[in-house]
Amino acid sequence: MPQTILDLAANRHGVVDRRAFLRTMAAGTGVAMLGWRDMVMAQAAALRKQGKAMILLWMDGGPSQFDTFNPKIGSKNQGPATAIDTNVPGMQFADFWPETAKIADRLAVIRSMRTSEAEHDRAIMLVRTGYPPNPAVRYPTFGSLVAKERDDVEYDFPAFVRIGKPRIKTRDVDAGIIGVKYSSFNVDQAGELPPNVRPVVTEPVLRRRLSLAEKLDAEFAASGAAKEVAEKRSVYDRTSRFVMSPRLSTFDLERESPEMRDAYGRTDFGQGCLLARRLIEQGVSFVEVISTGSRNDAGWDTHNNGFRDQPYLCAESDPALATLILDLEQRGMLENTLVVWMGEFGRTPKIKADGGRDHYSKGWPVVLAGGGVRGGQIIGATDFDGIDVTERPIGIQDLFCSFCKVLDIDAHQEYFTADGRPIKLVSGGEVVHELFG
Amino acid sequence: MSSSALWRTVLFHSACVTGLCLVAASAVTAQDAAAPPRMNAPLLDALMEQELKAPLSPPVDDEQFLRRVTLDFIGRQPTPDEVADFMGSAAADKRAQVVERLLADPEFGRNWAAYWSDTIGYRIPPPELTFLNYDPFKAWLATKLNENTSWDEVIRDVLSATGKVKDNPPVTFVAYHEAHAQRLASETARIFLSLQLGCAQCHDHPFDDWKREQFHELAAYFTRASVKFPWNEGIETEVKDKGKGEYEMPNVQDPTKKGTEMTPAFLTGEKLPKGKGDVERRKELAQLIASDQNPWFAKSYVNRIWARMMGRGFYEPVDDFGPAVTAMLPVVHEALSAEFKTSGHDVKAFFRLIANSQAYQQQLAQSESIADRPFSSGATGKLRGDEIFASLVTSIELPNVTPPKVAPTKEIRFPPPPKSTRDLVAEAFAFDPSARVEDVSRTLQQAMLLMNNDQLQKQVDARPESGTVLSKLLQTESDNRAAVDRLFQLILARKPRDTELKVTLEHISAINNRGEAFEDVLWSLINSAEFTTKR
Repeated sequence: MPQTILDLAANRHGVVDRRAFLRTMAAGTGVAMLGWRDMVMAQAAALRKQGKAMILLWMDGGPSQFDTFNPKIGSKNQGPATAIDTNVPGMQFADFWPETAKIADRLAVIRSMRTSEAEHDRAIMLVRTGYPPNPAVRYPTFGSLVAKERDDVEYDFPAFVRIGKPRIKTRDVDAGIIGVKYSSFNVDQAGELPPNVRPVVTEPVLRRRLSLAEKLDAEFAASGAAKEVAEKRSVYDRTSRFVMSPRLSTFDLERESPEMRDAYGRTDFGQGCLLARRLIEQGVSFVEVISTGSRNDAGWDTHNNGFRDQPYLCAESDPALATLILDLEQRGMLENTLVVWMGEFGRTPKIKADGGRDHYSKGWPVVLAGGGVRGGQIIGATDFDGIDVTERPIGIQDLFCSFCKVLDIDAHQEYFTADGRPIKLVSGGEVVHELFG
Repeated sequence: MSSSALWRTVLFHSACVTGLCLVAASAVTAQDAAAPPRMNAPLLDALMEQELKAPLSPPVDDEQFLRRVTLDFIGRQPTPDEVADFMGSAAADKRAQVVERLLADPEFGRNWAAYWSDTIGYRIPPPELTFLNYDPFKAWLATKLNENTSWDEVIRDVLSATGKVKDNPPVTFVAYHEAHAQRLASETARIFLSLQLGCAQCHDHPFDDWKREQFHELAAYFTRASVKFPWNEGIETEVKDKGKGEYEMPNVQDPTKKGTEMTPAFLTGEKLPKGKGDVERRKELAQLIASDQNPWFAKSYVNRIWARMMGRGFYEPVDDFGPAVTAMLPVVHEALSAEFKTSGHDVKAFFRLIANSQAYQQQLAQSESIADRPFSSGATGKLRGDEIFASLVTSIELPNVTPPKVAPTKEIRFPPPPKSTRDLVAEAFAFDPSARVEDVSRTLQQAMLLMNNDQLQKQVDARPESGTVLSKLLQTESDNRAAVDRLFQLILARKPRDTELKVTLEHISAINNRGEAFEDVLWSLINSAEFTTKR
């Protein structure tokens, strides 16, 4: 029992604070006087304050629904994959997903996403921001909105981390109109700290330099630049806490056992998912991990050689997804972490001569787990040949409303752009209630 | 109206009617030739004090003036030699002399070309599969500014150019906006006229007087432009005439239905018949935009430059001067705009006018009550990314390293262009020059770059074998006090104050290792708020 309580106490400030939490509780009221129930409730309050987290697994280029979570066995459009049973009776996945099939009872699989954009740049804008492309407004990506909601100056880690690079640099979204402050902190390669994070001098030297710089700022502040100096100081305080944080070891994957690293898969994406778990453990609110296959910049955009590349791409994604969910579950973190697997659209039912499929936005899949989502269910359906949605069409705004529900964010609240224009976090849409029913 | 004035008006109109318009009009102009007096710096200061109803703050000292004006004109801080020359001069007009020297410096054009390139480029999203490159545009604009081409001519080129970016760089504005008529209408009005018409794209403007039709009539000037984006190389982007077609205002009730065909018309009522070619349309629009008759063109430019130099604009953000916006000190804004027009949109003359005024040279506010009154004291401003890079080059000789360009292959078809040190610094500190001052914030990335960046930290090395600016300084200057003095001049372009000298020398004596101690001092100066701020 005490062990469970300790695990529950992971708060925004991460595992290192578990003991501190108990100390605080002990100092405040005397731990002996508190029943376990009181402690659990107090910790639940802390968790509410922290808010739940989200990991977005991004299949860059648009994964094929036929070769992933909506196989069409016996159809002329079947493709290279056959179907395998999962641990949920009646639920089948493409056979490229053996590990994920074993944990299907944790997954809600939406098979009926229906969106309006089928070109990468436009679809990425729509699916990542919740808004159709509008050349006049750079809508923020969802992670930036979460970072804005969870803005906490006391926290020494970035709220929004991206792992891996988009396969093509021109196709991207960022914090847009809400400002660079809410941009993602980018880790291009899991296992390596991004440039400029690690101080080049020892901590005592850096501290004495910071202290001298602060003294030198005093004259400037007194000459009429107090505001500039105060702003600089607050940013430097936060930055110093981050670059000198003992928790920077979070980024070091060598600290995990070789078995754990193997289980995620020794791929860029697999190791990225492992890092995502380590970051969520430290209180990061939103982590995005990009899957591209790492071989070329086509990624999941398998116009050509789809039969050759689908198994390879799935083999990268399958163990990473399954291990991430199990790992979160074993650590008691799955209830507080929404994991979402998706890309910008699906692929055409029609197969080209060389086994490729083009872009398709009618009936593509999203997989969700954790964060209170009920697993072991399929939501929506497409017809026998996968041409269109036959049951429960779901739009991107519906999906965003569902993310917001998990993250305790009011989906329809308004924020203001710099020029005073009100923008709804999500415009329209409804929570996909089956996810939580 | 007096009877004679009335008479003149009547005569004027009847003359027009009878076809004598030209003659009569020029006669009237000659009669009214009591042109407004030309503005100069003393007149500007007098007008400022009159409008502020308070005295201006005293001017900054010579060191601070030199840093401020050097940053504003050529985008870097002054070198120790420049400081020494200036401090050593006994000329009564030495500040005016510096202004002339800086206006003649080719870096003047480069610096302000970077400002305009940021202004135009900041809100341009990357098009599909093309890496935009603003270098040709910056080089072209730098030359124009250094040659002091009038601003109306520059903007006419920007709005009407055609062809490839690499052959005809002013086409960048139209090309990188994908020759998109609505984007171009919206951005042309915003950047060059400070008018926000974007809202009027879908409905009549909620606060301003713009009607939806007016937005789409403006877009109609751009409708014949088309663009071809190449893969990878932005400078190959080409604008061409579509050769046919008229602009349609979309049907808001049902976007799938045919829209309403619009005749190109400008906000002040001028119209252009349908059927004209691309360049003819855009040339016509460029004439209307960069014109003395246009009530917004000069005002918008004047406010942008004023805002950057003075730390805040007559109105903010600088790209919004709709009918609902009231400028501060409107009389001064009006007078400066009139002067800019009268000068024939003379860019350098306008910089000269502002820099020589006491209004520009005021010290920072010494009390809250002064700080609360805009323009009655100096104001700080954050340096742009390229200004910070140039300052790092000037102070510690930060090298500009560019990794080799990666050629596209079958696997990696779209390798991003390599980033030089300049690019990295400029990106980290980039902000939208149209943003309100208070909306530009410092970031974690910026602090990390100045604190920890490898290349930069290589220059914070006192060991003689490192060959850095710091190591040479320590070798030639054995006295610590003098070395601190020189380091302050190098990084902040000023001597240390007594308190700063004391704090620094105390730090040095506490460290017990001269080299390490001076590395701390150099690091601390680069990481001071002042280094990245104009004061």
